[in-house]
Amino acid sequence: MSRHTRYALLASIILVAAGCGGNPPPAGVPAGAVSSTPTAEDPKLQSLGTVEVNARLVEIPDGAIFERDLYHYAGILKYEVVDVHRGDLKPGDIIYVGHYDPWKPRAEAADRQVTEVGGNLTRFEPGQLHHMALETPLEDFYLGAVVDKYFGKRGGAAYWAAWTNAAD
Amino acid sequence: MILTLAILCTTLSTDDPAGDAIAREVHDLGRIAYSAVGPHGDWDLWIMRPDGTDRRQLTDTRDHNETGVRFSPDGKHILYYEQPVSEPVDNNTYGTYDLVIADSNGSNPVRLGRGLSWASWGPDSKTVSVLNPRGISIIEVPSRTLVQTIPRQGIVQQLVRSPDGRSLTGTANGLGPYWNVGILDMSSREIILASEAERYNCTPDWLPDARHVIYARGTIPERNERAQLWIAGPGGSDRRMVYAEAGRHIYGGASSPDGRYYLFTRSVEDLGKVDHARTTISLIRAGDTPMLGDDDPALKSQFPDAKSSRRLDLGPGWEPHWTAAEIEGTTTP
Repeated sequence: MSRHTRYALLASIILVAAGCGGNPPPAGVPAGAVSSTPTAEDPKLQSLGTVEVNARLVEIPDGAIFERDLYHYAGILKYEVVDVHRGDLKPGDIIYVGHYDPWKPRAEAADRQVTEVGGNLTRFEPGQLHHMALETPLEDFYLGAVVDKYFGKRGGAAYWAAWTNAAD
Repeated sequence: MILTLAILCTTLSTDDPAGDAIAREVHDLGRIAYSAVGPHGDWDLWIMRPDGTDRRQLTDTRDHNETGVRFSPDGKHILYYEQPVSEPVDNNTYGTYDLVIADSNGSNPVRLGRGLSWASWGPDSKTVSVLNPRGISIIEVPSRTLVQTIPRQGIVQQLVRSPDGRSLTGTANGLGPYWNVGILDMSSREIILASEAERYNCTPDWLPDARHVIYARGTIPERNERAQLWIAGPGGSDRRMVYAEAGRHIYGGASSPDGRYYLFTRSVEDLGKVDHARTTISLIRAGDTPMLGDDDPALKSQFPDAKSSRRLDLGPGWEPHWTAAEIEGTTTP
């Protein structure tokens, strides 16, 4: 089984589980950042991408996330790296990460065009800690529209979020 | 058949002197191909004279939708995309399905398959440029022999090579906070913004001068404006409104081969997903632009020099493309 097929299969399994309703949120976990799977045990985080970090979502600029059925896009969000599991980043680094269709729960984000994205995060909110598997540069892994409210204000390549779990 | 006859009757008897005059001018200027829903409910390719007469099907599949037809510069071949009939036809994704090359009358189709997204003919009519995440490839068809690869410089869809083969245009990231229309010089590999940067822009195509592009100037986010047809050169030079209408979104702009007419589609709803019943093809004279399609006071105030509508409506259809060539096997005996 190819890597692509394996990812697609796993994504399908996760989507089916989400479609069946999943588990209720654990007590004490804020709504919108709900994990029904222990983050540390999610094999997707270890297997996808070339970079794996825990990073805090610094902010969500106005207009960076909007829902419009017409458009599928990746929204660029700003993070501060907290822990590095794989890759050359270090704690304190500021990175810019593209999330596909960021208005959707991560488990529902994959579609025919973008098959290898997912995670258990249900909503992006400033200050959240996310455990992410990333690729870089974004352009090598994603052929689609981007909304980048940091255009002209940031340097370096953006990262592509392959998998995003809540980590708070 | 009933649908075809209804369309023919509509276009042959317009009760529209301006449209009729345009129809007489363009009758002998080659053929227009486009996608439309056929009698069996799926999208097929159709071809007609530019005045809407002599309309017939190029494809007649039942289990696939055919989209994105483009004539080769020599008029001998077409390329198009084929997708399962279960997949909705969408302005932003049609070019990601299976590429097909065929004779211009639809015969001898060769299915080249996936991985050849947003194909566009080169000036030699033997190569096509295609888009993938790692770059833009120029390949010979139908052999799929790779000729050249260049960086895509942010272009993500609706890739079109210029008539002189020196440039590419497409909808691109990295030119502003949203997706814009860029012009990529294939020698310097530099991409330059053509559209405005602070709104959504897409569906570019070249004018015959190989310098200007005609494109859909979309809305500023959250304003929900209607998409308009604009023209611009590299760096936004000569940027101007061509056609706008308060009640319709304008997409799919294309020029006649001689540059004297512009084709486009008018949609009640924004695209995305193409609602056939509400997406129609129209044709205007370049010399009549800028033009407003209706009497909207806000548009009149915004474009005080725009002319009132003088349009030839060609009925339901989407993504039209025009060749000057006469196509064998598509003329009524």
